[in-house]
Amino acid sequence: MLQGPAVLLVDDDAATNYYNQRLLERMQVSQEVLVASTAEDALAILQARCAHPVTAACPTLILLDFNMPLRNGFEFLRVFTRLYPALPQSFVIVLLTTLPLDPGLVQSQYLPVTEVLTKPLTPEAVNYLISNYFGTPAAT
Amino acid sequence: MAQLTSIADPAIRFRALFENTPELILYQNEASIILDANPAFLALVEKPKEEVLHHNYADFLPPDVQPIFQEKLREAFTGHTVRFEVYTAQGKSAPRHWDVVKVPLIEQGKVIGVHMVARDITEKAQAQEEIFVQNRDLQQFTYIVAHNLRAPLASALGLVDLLGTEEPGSAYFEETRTYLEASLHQLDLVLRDMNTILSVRDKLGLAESEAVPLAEVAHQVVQNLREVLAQCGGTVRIDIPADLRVGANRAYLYSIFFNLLSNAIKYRADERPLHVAITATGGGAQETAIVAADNGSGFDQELAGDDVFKLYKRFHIDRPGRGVGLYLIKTHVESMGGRITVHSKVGEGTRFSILLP
Repeated sequence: MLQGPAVLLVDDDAATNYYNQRLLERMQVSQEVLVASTAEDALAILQARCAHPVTAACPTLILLDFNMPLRNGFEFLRVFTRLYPALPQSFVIVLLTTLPLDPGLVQSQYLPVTEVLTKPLTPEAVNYLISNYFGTPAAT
Repeated sequence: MAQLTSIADPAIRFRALFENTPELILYQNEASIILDANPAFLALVEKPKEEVLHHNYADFLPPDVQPIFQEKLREAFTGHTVRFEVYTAQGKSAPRHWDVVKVPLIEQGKVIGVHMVARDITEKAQAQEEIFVQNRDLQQFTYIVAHNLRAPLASALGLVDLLGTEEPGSAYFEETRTYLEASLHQLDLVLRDMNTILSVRDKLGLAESEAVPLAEVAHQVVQNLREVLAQCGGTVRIDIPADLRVGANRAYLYSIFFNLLSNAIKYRADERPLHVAITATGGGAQETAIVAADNGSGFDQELAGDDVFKLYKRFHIDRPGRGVGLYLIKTHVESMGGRITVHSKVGEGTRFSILLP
């Protein structure tokens, strides 16, 4: 079985989800890649896997699209932190944006955003995330 | 020796300027009493000269601006020329933007009075405000365009890299290529949207108004959408008096009905056949009220907030759409001097109300 965190991809764009999923699978850095195309789906996955005694791996690395219809990345995180305040704060949450965001904008939200990256996700960025936050050397 | 042309007595020259300039000129003493006022001031406050002279200037100003005039007068009496802008009524006049200069009159090193010259800059101030609003809109527009062009492009950049690492002819290769194609088509759509939006914005203000028979345009749109309507089993009831004409641009009205109906079809409820009712009342000297109500899936109005009519804002995650239709409708309505509002309930339907002058 593959080492590395379970990863949750949250993006309304199917092409982006496909690309991110394939990239992570090819790099063999995660034991499982979960995909949610809406904030609601993502919340349901987190609820099922993280809130109760763990049956399957809780995705501790979340790659979150900023610009989604209905609830954007910030709104998703607001609901997430409100619904599950008791969850251990061990999530690495990476906000993916189409263009660089004003860092002040992210800080001013007081939300648990670990990193902000500009799309597309690159192998270098994945290596950095894995080695920096999960301490497992990534396959090259 | 050449004869100098006659130069009028300076006193006469300055008196003529005082009498005829459109700027307000007052001469005040330290206690703010008006010792002289020119005809432009008398005309503005609609008072004869005897009801102005020897009165305090503050009597002609609303309480909220009296302190600033008082303070600037005091400053001028220290020997400095002061200049400031203020938005205020004077006497019974409507409020205007004023560029005010207070110039001390100094004799033997002592300020003996202050001239005030006030120029009406209302039009300039309004033009500046309009430019400010337009600039802000354009900045917002550019921001949205940049983001919406970068989204499919970022996707394509990633996918094309990935494609280079997949085995040609493999299932992964084909799937990646398909997604790449979809991203490029999306990019193309965004650019085409830009073209549509820019051509609409270009024509704003040039919209040719004619007396358009509203019912005819509505029927024409339904006719052109009849195949899509038939496919989904939808019906449209049009209840518009045949003689109701609107002083508006026909192409805009067509686009409004077309986008409203397309949206109703796109966001219909799966549980029941679509029904849309389009009604209009008014005409003549009255405003025309157009209402388009459907029994579709509706959207969460609280969640959508003020964003409903914004470019590239979307409120249905399970249906395709790019968030352009309502933006176009609003642009069209506003370019004809009208306004649009919406009420929607999830699972019940959506009602758009348009008021046209």
